[in-house]
Amino acid sequence: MLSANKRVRVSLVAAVVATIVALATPRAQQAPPRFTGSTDAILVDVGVSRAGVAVEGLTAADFVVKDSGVAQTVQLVSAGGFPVSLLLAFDASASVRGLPLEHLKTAAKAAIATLRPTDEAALMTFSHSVLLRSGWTTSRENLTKAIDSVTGTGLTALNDAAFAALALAPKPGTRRLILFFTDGDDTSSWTSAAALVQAARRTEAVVYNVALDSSRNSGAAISRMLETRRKPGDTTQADVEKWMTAEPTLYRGAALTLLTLETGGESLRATETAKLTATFTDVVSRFSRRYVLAFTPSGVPATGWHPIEVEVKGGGDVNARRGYTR
Amino acid sequence: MFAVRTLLRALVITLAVAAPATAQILLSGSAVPAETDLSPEQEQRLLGEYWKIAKLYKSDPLKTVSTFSAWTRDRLGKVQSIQFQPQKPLPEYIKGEAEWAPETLRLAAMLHSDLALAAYQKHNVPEFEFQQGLADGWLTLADNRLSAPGSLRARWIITIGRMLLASGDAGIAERILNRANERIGNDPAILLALGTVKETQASRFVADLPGGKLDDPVFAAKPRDSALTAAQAALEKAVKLQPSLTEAKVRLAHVYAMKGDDARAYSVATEVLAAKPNAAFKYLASLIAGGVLERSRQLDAAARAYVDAIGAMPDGQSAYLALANIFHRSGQAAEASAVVERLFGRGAVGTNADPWWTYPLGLDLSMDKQFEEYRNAVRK
Repeated sequence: MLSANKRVRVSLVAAVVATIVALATPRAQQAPPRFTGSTDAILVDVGVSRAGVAVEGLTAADFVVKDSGVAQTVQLVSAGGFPVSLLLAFDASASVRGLPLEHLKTAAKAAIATLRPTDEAALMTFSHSVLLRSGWTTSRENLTKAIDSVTGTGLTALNDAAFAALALAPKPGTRRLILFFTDGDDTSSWTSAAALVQAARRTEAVVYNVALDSSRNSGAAISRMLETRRKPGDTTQADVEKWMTAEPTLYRGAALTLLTLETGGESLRATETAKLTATFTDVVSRFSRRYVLAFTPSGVPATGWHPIEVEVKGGGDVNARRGYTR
Repeated sequence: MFAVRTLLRALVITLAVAAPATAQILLSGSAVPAETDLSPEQEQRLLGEYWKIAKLYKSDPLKTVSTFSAWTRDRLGKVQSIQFQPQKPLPEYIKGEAEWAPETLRLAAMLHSDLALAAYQKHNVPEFEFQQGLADGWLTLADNRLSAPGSLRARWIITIGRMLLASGDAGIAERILNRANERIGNDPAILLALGTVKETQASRFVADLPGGKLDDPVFAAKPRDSALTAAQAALEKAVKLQPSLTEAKVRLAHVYAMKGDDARAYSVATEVLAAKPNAAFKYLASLIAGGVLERSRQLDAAARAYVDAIGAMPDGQSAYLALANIFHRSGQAAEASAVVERLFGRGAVGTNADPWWTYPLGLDLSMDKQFEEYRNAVRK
């Protein structure tokens, strides 16, 4: 998070923990991106569309942002000024073996090809194990090699992969886009769906999830329900979240959709794997047309969960993270 | 996975519609309805032919299996149904061709076990169940219809059940192990296998959408809770029968945790850890204990449990991610990222790297080796 953390920290006296952390690269210790206006500034990555078409050319005056119900003074930070850190997180379990995996690889390369030279990307795959095939890099050659090395095998540790994607810190000062693809439910994660949704509330990453329209598992059905019932007063999402907390495994199929809603991303569907290339490049394109708003919270509690509401004067569908924790 | 679930559903429907009646009836020890009525003389001729070939399994198993793969189900089923009938005097002019020596019956059992495994590899589940039923029938007769816990029959059925579970066919595994549990009472290993299957079914269960609406957890959880209760009963009995059965205790702790009975889950997990188990069980018990501590917001203690798990299994991905989540939820994002990067630095992919990966599949995946041991034992 951008703001200072005032919650109870884990003291973790065990020397082993210190060793584990110390052995990792120092990059993660670097400061997260901050808006220059204030060290307590909150950045909100916002997508605006009307009838499914991204709306461009808006100014700060077009937005109304409320933090915990209190209207805030916002500034528009040029989204183009931030390099993008794109994390591709792909299902590489046995179910994607063969042609679907080849389509997936082609789509991944196409997504990377649409990035600007200053943008970086990383590749994570998951089956039962979660692997970082390529760390953050601007080298398209390295990323292509990593994509070509992917093979399909094993179960699906979807929640583990999603948590690892959220926890993995990118280069400071970048906008982080996580592009997820899976064709099934979680079958082998230790990380619970509820823990995953909570983790999403603590990050600034924007998650786009691409699912196959042909998926008929329970997770896909719940996801469709969440995606299609986002009208005012609809309690479906709140119900699922509540139940997911009470029953960590029962509603795990909704985890990725909730992740997109929490982070202000989107859930997209491809009718077949052959069309993934168009979907993936569309995700990067949509992300590049989003806005980055900044505000310094005022008139709100110093700590705890801060729900954010973003509206556009003149109307429009808004995708923005649902809040932040201080 | 979607594909596995769809396949399983299709198989269940197939089996319900066209159940392999022969194998099921044979398992219950009664006669198969004959498509052709054989005279006592013809029956004995058929038995003679069958056993003459079956005995060759000892010296040339491949050829024997190949020969019997050409026999029809009716012929094979008839052979066993003849021997399963209550023994009655044959007419004096007929020479008895039945085999009753336990070692020969077990030889035939492994022969049909091989045929069953070959059918399963070809995804021919009805044929698998038929051949598996024949093998079980011969093993039952070899034990004079009264198999004991730990017998070859019991161990072989457990391996069959575990193979099915590991292959995603938990429903068939449950059916076979339930039947075995009814017929070979008080076998802790069968109870452990059955408990494992029910536990995995419970953990894989997801809420349904009746009528396109989300089911309230109170109703949605019922099938899952039913599986958990069955798992708990089987595992508690296994532990009672064999207190040294560490895997049953680990699974029991996990089942308690899934049922929200954290006190008992923690108690059993710490009991396992106190007994200094092997690395895999130490890892799993530490993970389960850590999960309970985390739920009660004892984050330091939970983190120590996860560190202990990593100490036991240095490539244990689940423990790394659990530890990273503790940092993350405590607002220590940089530390969480460092733990994740450390995990990625190890790059472990082998299925043995993290016992949690194979936990729902039954942990021990050396089924091929076990079948080979059974084959070798009967061919000695």
